[in-house]
Amino acid sequence: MSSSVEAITVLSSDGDEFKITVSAAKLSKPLNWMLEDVCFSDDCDEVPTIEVNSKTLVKVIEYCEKHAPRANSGASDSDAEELKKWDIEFMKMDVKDILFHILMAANYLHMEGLYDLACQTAADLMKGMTVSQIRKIFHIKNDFSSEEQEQLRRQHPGCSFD
Amino acid sequence: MTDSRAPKRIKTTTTCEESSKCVTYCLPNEILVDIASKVASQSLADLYHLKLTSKEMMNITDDDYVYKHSYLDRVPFFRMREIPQEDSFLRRCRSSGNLESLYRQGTKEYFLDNELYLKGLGLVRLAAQKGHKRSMYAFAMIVLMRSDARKGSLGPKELEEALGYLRLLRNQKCVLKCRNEVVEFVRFLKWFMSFGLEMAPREHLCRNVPCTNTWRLRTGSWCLLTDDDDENDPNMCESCRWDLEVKEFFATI
Repeated sequence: MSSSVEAITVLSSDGDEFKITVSAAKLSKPLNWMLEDVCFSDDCDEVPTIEVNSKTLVKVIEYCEKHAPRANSGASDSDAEELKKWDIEFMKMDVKDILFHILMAANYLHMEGLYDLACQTAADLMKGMTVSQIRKIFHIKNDFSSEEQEQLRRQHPGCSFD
Repeated sequence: MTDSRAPKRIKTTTTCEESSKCVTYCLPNEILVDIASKVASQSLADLYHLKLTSKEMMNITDDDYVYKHSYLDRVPFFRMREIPQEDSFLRRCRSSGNLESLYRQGTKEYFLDNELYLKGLGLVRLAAQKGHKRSMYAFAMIVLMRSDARKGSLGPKELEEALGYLRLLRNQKCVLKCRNEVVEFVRFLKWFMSFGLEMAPREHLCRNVPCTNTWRLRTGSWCLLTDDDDENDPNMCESCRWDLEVKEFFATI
């Protein structure tokens, strides 16, 4: 890896080019390995493809760039507080449209922080929801027959179904 | 994070078709399990609501990892009439190594079982080593108390470990909170099982009689009311603080 390079270019699965700084790319283990393996320099024309669509990749890179300075240098408590607030704002997104993609991307790119945050966001969406509300949020098809439903209602008197 | 896997390109699902927006289609099981364990660690009601959405979801969330992280604080120690579902759920939590389960089972065995008490202590210790705070407190109190008949194999190593836990809890300002929670459980065991184990604090940790740096209260009140009063002042004798803790613990159980 040549140390002169500060940012690298990657391709999304849709074929769009994106710039990401080296320090931000290091948040992802596979990207870090790539940085170590491949010589990135201005005259290097190999552009790695990341199997994540453009819309998701924009978000992932946004997250990386925001978190990179802290990951590299450590930060004070007030910074951590601010970052937490930023994370909450950042995670306000549509579930199936983007949250699922972020989960897949974070898992694929081995980004523990983002993965954890996305899982927590998904879990928070279920807080205090009834069974049918959760079905609606996550588009889960009810595959119980009506008899089975009745039985479940009897077995779980404490649960709210509707 | 799911386990390490090949770093090279893995095709992700980039589009969810109209007909298959469902979370179980869009996300692989291991991610769903991670989400479910987050839900389980916050509220069992929410976990059950998620499980009951579909057969598929029920199967996917029936994973040791979810049971291990389930939040059991709101589950009562005992029910007059057992609920079969709850019972099998709790059994599964125990076998999956849920820390609250280990703590409850271990504490119960320690106090009630004259043969398995060392095994019980082992469970409490294991949960403490994995960061379960109530177990840390319970383990420390068990080590710091003496019961002649069952001294067992507690030596200086265990004492050091116990003091380490108490220091950690004090730094996190939760000694009193843990004391109250452990006392509640031990009192319940006492009442319910009427155990007659003789317990007494071991000889004082602080050997100076009288101690000149003895642990004092920051405020003028005559007892330690909140964790905020429990300041770690380096000028005060730490041993005296823990002697007081043992005394208070025994006074309340």
